[in-house]
Amino acid sequence: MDRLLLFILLFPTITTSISYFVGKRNELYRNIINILTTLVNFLVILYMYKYIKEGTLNFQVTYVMGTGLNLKLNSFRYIFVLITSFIWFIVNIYSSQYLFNYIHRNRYHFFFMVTYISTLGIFISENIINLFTFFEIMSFSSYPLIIHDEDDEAHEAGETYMNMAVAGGMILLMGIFIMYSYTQVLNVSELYLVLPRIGPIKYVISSLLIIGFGIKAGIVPLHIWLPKAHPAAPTPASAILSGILVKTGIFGVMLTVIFLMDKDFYLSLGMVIFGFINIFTGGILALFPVNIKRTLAYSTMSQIGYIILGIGLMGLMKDHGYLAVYGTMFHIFNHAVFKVMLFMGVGIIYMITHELNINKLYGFGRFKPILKITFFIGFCAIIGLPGFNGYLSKTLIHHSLTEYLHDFSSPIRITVEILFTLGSSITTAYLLKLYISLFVEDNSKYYASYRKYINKRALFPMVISSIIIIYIGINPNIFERYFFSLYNIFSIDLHSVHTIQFYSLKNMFSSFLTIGLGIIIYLKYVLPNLRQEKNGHMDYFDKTRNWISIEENIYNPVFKFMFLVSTFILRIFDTLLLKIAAYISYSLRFAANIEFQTYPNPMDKLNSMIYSFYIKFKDRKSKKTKKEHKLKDKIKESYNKPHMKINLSELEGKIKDYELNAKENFKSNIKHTVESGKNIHIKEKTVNKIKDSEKITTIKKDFDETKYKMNSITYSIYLVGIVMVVVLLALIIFNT
Amino acid sequence: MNFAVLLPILIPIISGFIVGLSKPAYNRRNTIVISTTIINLFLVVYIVLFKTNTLFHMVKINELLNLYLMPDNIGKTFAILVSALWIFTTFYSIDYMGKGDGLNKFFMFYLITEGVTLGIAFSGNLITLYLFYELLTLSTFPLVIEKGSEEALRAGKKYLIYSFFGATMVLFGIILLFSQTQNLSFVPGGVVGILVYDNKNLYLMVYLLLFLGFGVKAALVPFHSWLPSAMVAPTPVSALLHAVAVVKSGIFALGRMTYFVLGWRVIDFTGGNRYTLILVLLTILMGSFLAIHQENLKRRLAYSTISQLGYVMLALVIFEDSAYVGGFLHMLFHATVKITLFFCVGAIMHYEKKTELSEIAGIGKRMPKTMISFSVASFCLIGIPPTNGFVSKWFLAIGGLDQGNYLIPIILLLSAFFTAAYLIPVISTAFFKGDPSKEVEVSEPKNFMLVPIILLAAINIILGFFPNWLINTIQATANKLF
Repeated sequence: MDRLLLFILLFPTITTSISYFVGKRNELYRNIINILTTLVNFLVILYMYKYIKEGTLNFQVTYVMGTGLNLKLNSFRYIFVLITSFIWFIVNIYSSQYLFNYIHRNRYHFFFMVTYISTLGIFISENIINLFTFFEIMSFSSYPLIIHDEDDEAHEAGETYMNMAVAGGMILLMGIFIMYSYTQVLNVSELYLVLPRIGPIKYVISSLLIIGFGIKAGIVPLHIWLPKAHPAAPTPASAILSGILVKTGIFGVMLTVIFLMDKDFYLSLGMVIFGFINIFTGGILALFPVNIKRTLAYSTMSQIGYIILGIGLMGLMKDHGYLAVYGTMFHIFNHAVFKVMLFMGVGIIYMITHELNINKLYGFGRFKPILKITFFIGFCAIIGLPGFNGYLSKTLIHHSLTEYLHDFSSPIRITVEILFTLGSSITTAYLLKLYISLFVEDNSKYYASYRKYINKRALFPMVISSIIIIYIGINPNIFERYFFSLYNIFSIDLHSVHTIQFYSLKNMFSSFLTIGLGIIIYLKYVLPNLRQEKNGHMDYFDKTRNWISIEENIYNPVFKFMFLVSTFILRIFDTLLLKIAAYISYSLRFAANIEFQTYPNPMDKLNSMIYSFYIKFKDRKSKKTKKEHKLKDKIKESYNKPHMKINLSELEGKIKDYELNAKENFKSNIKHTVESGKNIHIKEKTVNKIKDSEKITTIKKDFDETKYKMNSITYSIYLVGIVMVVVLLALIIFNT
Repeated sequence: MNFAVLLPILIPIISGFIVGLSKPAYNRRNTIVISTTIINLFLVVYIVLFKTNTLFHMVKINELLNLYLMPDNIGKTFAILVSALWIFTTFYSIDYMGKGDGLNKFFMFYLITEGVTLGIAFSGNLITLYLFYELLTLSTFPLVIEKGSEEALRAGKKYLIYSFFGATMVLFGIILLFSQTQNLSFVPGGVVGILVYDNKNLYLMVYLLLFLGFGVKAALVPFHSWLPSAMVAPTPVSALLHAVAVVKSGIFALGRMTYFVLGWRVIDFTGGNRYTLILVLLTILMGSFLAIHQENLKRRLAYSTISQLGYVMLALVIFEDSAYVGGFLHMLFHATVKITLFFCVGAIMHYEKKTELSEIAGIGKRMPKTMISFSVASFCLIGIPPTNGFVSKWFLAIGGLDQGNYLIPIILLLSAFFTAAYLIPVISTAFFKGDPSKEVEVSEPKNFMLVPIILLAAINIILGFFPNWLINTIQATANKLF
């Protein structure tokens, strides 16, 4: 029966590819195929319980994907597989009617099913590379679901999601690389024997793995995609995101902390701290938004906090932690059921009104009994009211926390106790805000029943989920036998296990205390502080809009800065060789154009004559436009332009100065002689002298002459030199 | 029948000259080109299967100029890759190039290049390889400047200058090496052996000269800039240049030099790989990072090629058997993946006249099959399992870690992230952007273009799912070397 493991992966693969092509023609048949597929898969998985009870299922194919395919199913994995197949089944029914007003429905359904297959694959893969493979497929195939609407909001959310998903995948892969390099083992069930014994590097490995999985799980500093993606995605997709996809991250974290690292103390402690941080951050942030889905997304974060806290407790309590195991696994199941149900309720509202803002939707569900009741059941379950399933798992986690703190000093115990109660009570506050404004307030706009808009296929999954919620709430011990088989896998000391009395007075009291505190927070903080008068209605407003956002104030600036710096550095390498070559050619040209002559070179004229002839000749040949020629000439000019000229222009300037001075001197002389009243003879003489002064202007000519003379001297020196060289050569030649 | 080894080199060259000189008409020319490439594949397969350790002497002038062919396992794998991808490109380019006049010349050099590349694959010693290597530059130059525009000519000039600059360094290195060893034949483990103890620095210099010289064709930073400029060539040519012929010849020559002439132990002793490792890591990082900045799709892919070639060169500077397996696999996988990507971009260029990223919004709805193939190839290049890119990157990273070098996997993953950052926007723009409500009519390329694209995409997926036989084959050669 081990082949059933392959069946639950291959069967949906085949039917999905069929339904994609069918869906191009006929939508009804496609939906039927998809629903039947998930139903058959669900039934097969239910049937597999028979074998799970007795042991594990294991299936291997060695010759594919490099490392082979290794699938395994035991009772720990079974709960994830079961909840996945069940939730997908009911959401498939739901989404068959949901997307009526949307385009690309076929694409949506295709990727919906691909995500389903890969999620199942994550939960049943034993080889860590197989797990990573399915994890990546799941990340990428859920992207088209998130950006399904293709508007700006969806694309922005999709971009954040994609960046986080790819980065998470890379970090995870880095962890797997190092792990494999140190242990040479890839199977999850063998790794715990090796990994805890390889020294401090194991903390590097496990933190890389936890970060990689934690991005999907929404652990606090890594959660930023979650509140963006949920409101942007269509409702069935956000239900799946919140109910199942987040659980894949949880599954990975659990695998790392409990199984791979064999309940390491420091990691478990870290998980407890992060659990509390998640409960509080998620809960507090859920108080503010006006978008319903955003509230629910933050609520998911807060509920994930309980699960992470449970994982931490499992690790801390080692083999006595049966309560933590029971509570955590139970909460994973319960959270999937009630959160998916709440999302489906929101989806119905959105389908009718195309609105998610509670300021516009207030009073919507006042006269819609089925919606109101199912939503109320979900609400009761999530806040942990006795009689509903959320109460059971929260009580268990609470119990295990108290049991762990039993040996600690009372200040620590009381602080943690208060923190836990406070964190849980916030859940009540934000859901009360949602519930009262949607279903209790009065709004004449929504008196109509909209019964014809609400499809039976939309209500059916909600009714099923609420039945499950209540049924589990009334029969709290139905899963006890199943969980008993789980303790073996978690290596729990079976002697420490006791039956739990869920509906004892003490438990009920602490639950009511929490809820009462929540109501007080709602009345004393939410109602007075988060609303303001607008058009005769008390509108909620989002206080967090001006708060520091991790994404915009930390991640984005840091990454932008790193991006710019690395661009700058790598650009240098990109153009390094070209720049060097350009610099060398420039400096060569520069050196070539330095002119040492101070007189017009007689060869220049000849050159220019030859050049002009050449140009004319070329003109005749090529009939190019004048513009091109001008451009070319300009380029040529710039080429021929000397960049430095060592010439005698300075000297020439000095000569001019000298001339001027001489003139002035003579003028002053004349004035002097006139004034002194000398005779005309002398005057004539001075006139002659003035004529002489004009001669002085010829000094320049004289200078030029001397230059020519100088040149002739140099030429003659050259000549003499050449003659001497020739003579020398001749002497050398003839002498030897 | 040792002569058979020469046939796959000779036949394309001869039929290339036939095409170039007799100037046949459109249909006749296509027949010649297609039949030549297909016959050549069969010949190569024949050699791969039936010719083991055959040695064919071409010319022997003296000990240095001793030209002979000797196909071994690595050469055979490369030859299969070349001759198989050449067929796809032939069909593609018949549609892409159209019915213009001067195409006989184009196809002449196109066929000659195949022969020369196979010559590189089958060469038995370094000097024969060098000869074909130089011929490759000359035979691809007319393909690069096919358009004849100013830009194409400038790019061609750049390509020539870079290539000959590299070849000069190689020649210098070969002469230095020959002066010491008197032997340039390919022997697993190298011909240098204990000679290295005599003159360590000389061998370091030889290694660096040969690495940088061959690295020019393999687009090693800082000798890479001919590659993005050579993008002016028609797409089948850029696909061939980037995926198969030129850059892979550079890599192949580097591999020959590292493992068969100098020997990795010699290089390890001289410590030369420490310097080249820096350049290779820089190549990986720079290529993928600067690809994000390119708006033009072909240029994006060109920078991507630079980075991916860095991955392959990683196997030549870290001497670990798993790195060797990874690098060799990546050489093959990158060839099939990159040629698919180029073909898709070329189809968009040819049929839709769009070259920039911003222009292709919504094109996935118009050309779904082409763009799905593009997406498949992109995922392969990023290395998302279960595609083939993951397999090769896995081996490379493990090889780096086995050496205790954490920088290598970090840079590999960083570069994979950048790869996602420059390819996923293309996919999401093509499929998810643009006017969503507008109905677009589907207009795929003609079958000559579409069938190679789809076949190549399918090959990528199949190789990703079943790489085990390939891994085992390469592992066998790796065991001989290490």
